[in-house]
Amino acid sequence: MATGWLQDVTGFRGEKIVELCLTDYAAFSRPLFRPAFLGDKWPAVDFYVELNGVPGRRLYFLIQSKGTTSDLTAQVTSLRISSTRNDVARLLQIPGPTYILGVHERSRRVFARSVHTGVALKAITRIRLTHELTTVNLQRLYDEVCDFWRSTGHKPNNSVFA
Amino acid sequence: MSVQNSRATLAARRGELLAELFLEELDPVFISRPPIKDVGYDLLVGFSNDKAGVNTFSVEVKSTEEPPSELRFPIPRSVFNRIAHSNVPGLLLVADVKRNQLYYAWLTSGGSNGGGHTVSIPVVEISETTKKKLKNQLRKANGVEAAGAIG
Repeated sequence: MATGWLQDVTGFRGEKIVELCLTDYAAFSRPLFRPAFLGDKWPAVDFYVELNGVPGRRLYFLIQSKGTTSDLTAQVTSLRISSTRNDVARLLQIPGPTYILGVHERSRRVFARSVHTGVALKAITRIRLTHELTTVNLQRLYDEVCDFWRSTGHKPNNSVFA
Repeated sequence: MSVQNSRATLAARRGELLAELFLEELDPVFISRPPIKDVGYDLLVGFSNDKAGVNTFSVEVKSTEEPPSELRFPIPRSVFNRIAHSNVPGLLLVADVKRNQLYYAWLTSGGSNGGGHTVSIPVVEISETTKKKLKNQLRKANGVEAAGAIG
């Protein structure tokens, strides 16, 4: 019976690092984000992420994570990742803020690149190291997503199923 | 779900993630989670040894939002007894989920004193040095003796 088996918990290292990064609250009273892993079968998106602490609203954004073991030497200014044109196209089709996160698995560092209107429809292969999700940038990400949802409708105004 | 439960759940989840990532970095043969909660441990891990065998350990993961005071961490005596008096050597991993810091201790029958409801376990802060030491212990030809010698 399947429920009686031991469950293997190795793998998904990149996703575990992303979840730890987004829930890091060393500098906050509580985590800014509440990520939910959608599983490896869901196309384009790996995490649905809600923002904590917004009164009366559960604002969200979506993430595709890309793990890498590429070198991060003192000379490099960006992290190499291997997303495809199709990854970017799919993220652009989804309404709401979407990001590609590059995960440097050895050092457990995470870097963000926004996929928003105006971003070129081609593979993203580099993320600037200045976009590392440090405490400061986690707060910036939070504020950016808040600002986006403030500028757009929260809900449809009507429905045929009303 | 209350705010308190939610925070406890979050702490437990972060502890779980920190522990799993840490154990993965020690190059295990396997890391498994039991299918039900009351098996008595959180994870079962195996490491190859130099006699071509596999040393198996049970792992209990505890989460906290503060560094263990004076490098000691209290666990319920029932948990201690269940693991320390088991035939599988037990490793305690304490995760300070606020500071992303891990601590470890071997749970051995010699490590208990007094008769209270909790047992105060001396823990070791995990650094690059202690990580290497732990990795060597886990891979010793006889992991059971390795764990027993620590307590």
